[in-house]
Amino acid sequence: MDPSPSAEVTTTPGQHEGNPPLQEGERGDTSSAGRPPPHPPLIGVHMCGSTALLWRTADVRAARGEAGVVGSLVGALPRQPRQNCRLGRPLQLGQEELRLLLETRRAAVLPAAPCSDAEVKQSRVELYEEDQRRSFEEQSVLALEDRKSALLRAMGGATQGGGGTSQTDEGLSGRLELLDQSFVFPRTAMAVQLSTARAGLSHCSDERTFLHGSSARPGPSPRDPRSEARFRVFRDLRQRGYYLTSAGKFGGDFLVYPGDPLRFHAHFIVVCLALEEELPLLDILAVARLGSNVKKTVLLCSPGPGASPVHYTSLQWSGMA
Amino acid sequence: MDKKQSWNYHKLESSSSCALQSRSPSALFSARSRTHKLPVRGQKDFSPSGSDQQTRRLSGALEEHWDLVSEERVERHGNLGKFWQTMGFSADGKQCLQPEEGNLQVFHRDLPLSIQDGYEMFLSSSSNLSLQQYQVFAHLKRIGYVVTRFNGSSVPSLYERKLNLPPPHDRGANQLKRKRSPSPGATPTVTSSPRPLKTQEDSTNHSSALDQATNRDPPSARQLITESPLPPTDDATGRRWWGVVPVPLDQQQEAGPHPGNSASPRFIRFPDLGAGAPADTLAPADTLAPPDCSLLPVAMVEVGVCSLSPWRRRLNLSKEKPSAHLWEKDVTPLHDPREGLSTAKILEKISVVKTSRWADAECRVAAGGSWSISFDVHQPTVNTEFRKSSPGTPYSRMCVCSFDGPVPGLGALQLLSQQSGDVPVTMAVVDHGDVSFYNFKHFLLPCDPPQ
Repeated sequence: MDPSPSAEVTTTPGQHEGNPPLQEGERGDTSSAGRPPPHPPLIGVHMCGSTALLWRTADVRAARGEAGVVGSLVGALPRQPRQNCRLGRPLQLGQEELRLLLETRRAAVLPAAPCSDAEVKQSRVELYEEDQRRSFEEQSVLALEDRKSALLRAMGGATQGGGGTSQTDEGLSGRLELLDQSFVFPRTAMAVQLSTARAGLSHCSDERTFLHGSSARPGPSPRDPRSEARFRVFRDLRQRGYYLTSAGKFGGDFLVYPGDPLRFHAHFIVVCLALEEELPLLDILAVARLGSNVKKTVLLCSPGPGASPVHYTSLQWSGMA
Repeated sequence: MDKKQSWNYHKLESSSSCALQSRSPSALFSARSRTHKLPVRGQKDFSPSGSDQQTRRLSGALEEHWDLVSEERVERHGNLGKFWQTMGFSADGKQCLQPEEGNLQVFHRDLPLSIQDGYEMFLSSSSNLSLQQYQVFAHLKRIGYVVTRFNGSSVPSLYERKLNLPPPHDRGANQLKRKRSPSPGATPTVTSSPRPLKTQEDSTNHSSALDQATNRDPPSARQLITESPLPPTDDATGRRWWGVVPVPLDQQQEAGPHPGNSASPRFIRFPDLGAGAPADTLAPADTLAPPDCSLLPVAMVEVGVCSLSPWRRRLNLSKEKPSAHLWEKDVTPLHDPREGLSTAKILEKISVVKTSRWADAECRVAAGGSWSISFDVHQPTVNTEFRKSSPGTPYSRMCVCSFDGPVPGLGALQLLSQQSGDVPVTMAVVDHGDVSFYNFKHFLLPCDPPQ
């Protein structure tokens, strides 16, 4: 990269048309009203304050697979909770991701569970307690079997070494009997599940009743120009098949990946600007310098007026000294 | 409900039943011994090529990813609720938890709550904890930090800090330390100092309380604390300040070497011949006593009395020019060379713009926006020593903000650092669940003569 101060702004509106569009990116962008079944199930979005969260694996998977919405996992990972490299559910959606899912009718915002005023049916509590009792019993049986097979393995190893006589067989069955009688599966050893998503026998039953209308849609209703520009850029790039994540650490709006971020590096850092917006030259140089440092191209993206396409501009060091 | 709505309702019903993610007893039991290894992420590709190999790798990575994401928390019943060492507090004889604390089965009206229920109940707009704050809390907790809520009243006020008063909760423990620290001059000032100002400072009228604090505190006390205190000259404790104490020339000569005292360390002291008075005022016959023979090489037995006059003559050879007329009028030079200041002192004296730290109380900038400290953070290494009753000095304090929000101004930083006391304030910036940590630090430009 030539650090020459003479930089040249090149406008390349058709720059990305050569890139291969992704498999399933565009499916939902046509109207869903006239489509024949089978429909993909709707993705259930839960709001936590003003933040949209997906709690179910199926929803997280559908958002990524069918709609190409990556989001970011923000919960502790059950398999290894004490680290921050890989996180688990819930999946947090950005404003643009949520809006895209809602506008393409792939998702719906579910109302918060009426936890506070719900009267708990006694039968539900009984059902839960019954379930726990059954679980404990089944686990006791499993634990006993576990212990027996461990004993058999140990004794089996011993008999193989000693030649295997009826005496050891007797001893084995005696021990097994003893184990049967004396085995106690402590309550503290029972495995219990801490559910991530609300489901099944938990307190707040989730009937997924909701109003699928604009009234349930979150976000600022008279949208400010900045979030409007961000959304249009997001939608355009997603329609071209790119995957997008947030780029706060890179000083931009979005990071743009040519494929699933799990397997591909990001190519672009997107900075969204209104078409008439003036940007200080120093800012442009700073963001371009940052981009070349992380081996990514900085794109200045401005949606045109009305329904006209988004303009993409990148800064290139001219190489002239 | 029109047709479309009912269709949507139906779709969701079916998806919810298939997404029921609770586990059977046998699955739960076997989950006790499941792996804790994370899948290794291989080298990423540059761009999709459409090759079979790439497609296979992608689908493999995605399968692993979904396995990982779909896993549920399974805990031994007896392992739940082991967190009281660093979390929780007691109130009214009951053990309580802040909403963010807790790896436990919460029961609400006899039914267990899911994590989702927890988020929606405890992180809603009505609670005093936002999702962003929780995300910062969880991020730090996951990597082992002890995180507690920030309590502004536990931080000693500026006045208390200036007087080096021990914080209220561990005053007893600090007293011991104080005995060990060599500040005999400061101790009486500290113990006799008036403390009614604390309550004044707690009031919202911050600036007036501060002004009072700075005005009231006696200059002598301030000097004693800021400058390194002089050690006692009569050494009752048996400690000596060899090499540190500038012993006056005459005393040095009087004391002389200690030939008999072999236990004490011996130093050859180089007398400061230029100190005291200009050369011409001294008696020319001034002499220096001979050094201790035992400190000298064997061959040099006789050194004898040392005459100072040859050295004295070399000092201050240049006569000071009479410049008194420069001070006769209104405009005078900035510095009188006869004051004999160090270069650093002169530089400080003639500097037009004084260096100031934004954290200092003297430079006040109006703070805009609502900035506040959320958490105290204690380091994982001292985790074992952490006691809730006396948490000690935090490693850092966290102020939670977002990339979408404004950048804190100088005034806000000043306010936060004053609220925090001596503990650094870290800005925890949340970007779509991703947390990055930043510090704003005062930077002192390097200066040739050290300050």
